[in-house]
Amino acid sequence: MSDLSNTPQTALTFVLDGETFGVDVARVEEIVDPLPMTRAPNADPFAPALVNVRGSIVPVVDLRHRLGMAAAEQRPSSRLLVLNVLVDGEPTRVALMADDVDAIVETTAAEIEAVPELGLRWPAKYFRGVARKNGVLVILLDEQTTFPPQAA
Amino acid sequence: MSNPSDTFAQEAEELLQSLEQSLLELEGAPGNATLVDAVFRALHTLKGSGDMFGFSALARFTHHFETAFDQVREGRARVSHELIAVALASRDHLAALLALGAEAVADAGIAAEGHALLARLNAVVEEQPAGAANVEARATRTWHIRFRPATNALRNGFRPDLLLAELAELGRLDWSCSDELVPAIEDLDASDCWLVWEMTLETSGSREAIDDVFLFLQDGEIDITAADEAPAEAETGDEPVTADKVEPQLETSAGPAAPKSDSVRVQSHRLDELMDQLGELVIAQARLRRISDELGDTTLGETAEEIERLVTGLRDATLSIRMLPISLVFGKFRRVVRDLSEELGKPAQLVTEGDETEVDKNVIDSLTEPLVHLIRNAIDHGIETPETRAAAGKPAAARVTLRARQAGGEVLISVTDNGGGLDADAIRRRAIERKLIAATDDLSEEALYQLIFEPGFSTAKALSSVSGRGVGMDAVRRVIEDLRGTVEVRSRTGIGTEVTLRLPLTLAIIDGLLVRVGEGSFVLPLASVEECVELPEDEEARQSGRSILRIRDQLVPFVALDTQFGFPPSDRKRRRVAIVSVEGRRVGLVVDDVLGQHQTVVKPLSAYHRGIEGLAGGTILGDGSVALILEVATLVRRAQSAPRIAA
Amino acid sequence: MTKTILTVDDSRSIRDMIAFALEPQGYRVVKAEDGKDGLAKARAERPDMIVTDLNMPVMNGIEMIRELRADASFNGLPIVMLTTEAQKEKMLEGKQAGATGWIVKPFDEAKITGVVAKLLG
Repeated sequence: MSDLSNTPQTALTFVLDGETFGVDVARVEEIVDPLPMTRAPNADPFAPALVNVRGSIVPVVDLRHRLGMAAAEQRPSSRLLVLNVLVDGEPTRVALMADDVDAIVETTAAEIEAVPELGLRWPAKYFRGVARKNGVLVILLDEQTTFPPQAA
Repeated sequence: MSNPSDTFAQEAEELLQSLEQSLLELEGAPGNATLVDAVFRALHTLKGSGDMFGFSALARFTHHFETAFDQVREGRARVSHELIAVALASRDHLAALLALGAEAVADAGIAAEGHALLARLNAVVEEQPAGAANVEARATRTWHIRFRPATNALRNGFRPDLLLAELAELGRLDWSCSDELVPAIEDLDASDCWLVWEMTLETSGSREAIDDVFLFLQDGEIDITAADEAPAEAETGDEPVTADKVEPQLETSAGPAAPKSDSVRVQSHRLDELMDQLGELVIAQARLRRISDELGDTTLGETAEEIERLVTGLRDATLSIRMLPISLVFGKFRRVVRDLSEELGKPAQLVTEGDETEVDKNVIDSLTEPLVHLIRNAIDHGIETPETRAAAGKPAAARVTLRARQAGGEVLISVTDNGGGLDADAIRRRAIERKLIAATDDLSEEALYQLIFEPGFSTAKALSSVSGRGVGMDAVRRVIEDLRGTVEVRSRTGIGTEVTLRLPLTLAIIDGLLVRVGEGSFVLPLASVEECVELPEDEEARQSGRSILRIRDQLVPFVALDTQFGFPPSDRKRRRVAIVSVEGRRVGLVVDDVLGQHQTVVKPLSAYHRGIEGLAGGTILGDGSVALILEVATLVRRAQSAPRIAA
Repeated sequence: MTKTILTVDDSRSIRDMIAFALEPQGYRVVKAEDGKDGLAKARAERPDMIVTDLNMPVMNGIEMIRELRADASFNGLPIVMLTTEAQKEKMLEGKQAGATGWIVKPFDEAKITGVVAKLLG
């Protein structure tokens, strides 16, 4: 787990497979409706396709795959979160597929707890910590470990 | 406005490059006075501007370098192998001083190097007996000089007597003075100067020496022409320096070198920005055409067509700005060849052809390393030892030819040596040993030659210190393929080897053929597509990996892109085959449909997709969707290796 | 006959260097600290040549050259400017004002004596 877990942050929360995740709001460029996707041949299933976001070619990332969730159909609430993250050291825009986009929450250092090693279905290394907000458990993504092309 | 010392640094780098060039050429033509002058001129300008921009250590060293070289110019020292070697080392020293920057103080090591070089330089020029100079017959040239000083020159301190005396010091001077411009006596201000001098000067001195006499008189009319354009001892034949490079500009001696009149320096990132904007424009224009086609409005259609025409013109004009002559790269290699042939004891000469061929700036930037490697290889492995050459009845000095030419939308650059040729049997043995091919594989010579580019073909053991720098021929191929190019090899035993790099003229926009595979659109670079044919039904039936298609009595292997891409197999009935040609081999790529030609703006892929074999980039189509650009060479290679893996 | 050279410069080290370079060659060197001083010394000493800086307090070199050239009694007097500017404009301005030649700073003794010999014979 990253030692940044103590810094307070503003997170955008989104839903995947019924769970609520949070991503640092500073990373979020925009939220767009699903776009026509171009499948990349022989691609890593974590980045299976490309979309055109305002004239730029942006890779689509499928967090479901990285977290071992089952693939899901697109639904009316589905959105693409366009994020700016570092991938192999280069600033890269990625379009993260989300089932729904929730809200913006403020978390203070005191509210963030370490990831319970056994409490989650997924490897703890992908997360900065968890915070309970309005009775919902928000799982805060660690952008450094979540986005590299090859799962760490 | 950029920093003047940066401008100087840039200018100085160019001067150092031309200095190196002239020195190398001089070694081959030691009696060539034009080349001696070129060396001298480069040093002279470097000294003058270096001083002015605070590069005083550089200016000082250049001054001594110039003084030593003056012995050569004056015919008191001979151009020898050793002289060129020291001069080249001195040039490198100047480059090091330049790298230190303005106002910098050289550390003790560099200073000591400078002293040592100057000592060697002086020793070389002084040990020549005066009579032995082979520039001794340095041609005297006859110059016609017409000089009309500015009207106020006399008032401002000009002394015609001193000028004539200074010129007379250079050689034999005849002069006459015309007063026909002098106005009528009543209009005359006695302190005005209206005289015009016509002079004939026979001198062995250089053009610069004459220019120097007129240094402070640039505001007058000065016309200096050589009576006989060619120097008397022009027996060196092929003059490597063109006349317009030789004629110095009058301004150059007047302090800062005048900028070349009709060119502008542009920072390269601005060109990249321009190219990006143009790319967006091409995409927007594709969208406009699509909308206009859908609406079917004639007026809109005409306007869209006109815009398309304008965009194409703008594209061509912009691309041409990015084009630079390949001589920029070729120029660097004389030194490489000289140093290597020295080091390996294999006399070799570099010949360049097609120096003016223009190539996209970004392509040029990436070419140096692969070409250095190919040249190293040619000298190290291609060229035989002098003994072997003598035994084979070949001339002792081998020849490495760098040739560039444009063909269609491509530029072809080849490195040819007249060495021993590739040993197909040895390659075959090595490839089997390295498990690149099976012992039973029956490969054509061409296919065997391609194996030298396979990663793991070369071993450190097999390479000498020269070539074995951790980069093998596979690195050459990788760079070329990153530039969307291909590498071809031809070789004849005992005659030599030729490696040809085929590169697209530009990286930013390509003409592509748009095809459909499954749900996706893909772009094939049009330059590699030969033709498109229907896939016969019976061939369709045997859809397993690689198949063979008969096209006009030629058998062409083909692969289905859907299987290559791991897409679900197409259930489409009438599919088509794009026949592409790579490295002399034709291969068919089966696609669902051919959608037509498309001007393609190439956008790079992210780290997620860059590493996927067979993808060269992405582009955005008129309807806003993303299409992937295919790298044909890789697809073909994969297709060819497929049956072996399956076996 | 000993020739007199007037050096006009606000930098003492430059004045000294010029004297140091020229005196061993048999020239007499007179020094002035700015354009106004230079003008006065030129009128008083009637030098055979003037070597002047351009950027100086009180009166700059170019103004001084203009004043000298306006006076017909200085016709034919060689005036050399010392320039540090990389720009040719400054040189041209000086040339138009009536300078005979220039020396680019930094310079060494050889350059000074070379230019003096060129213009003075």
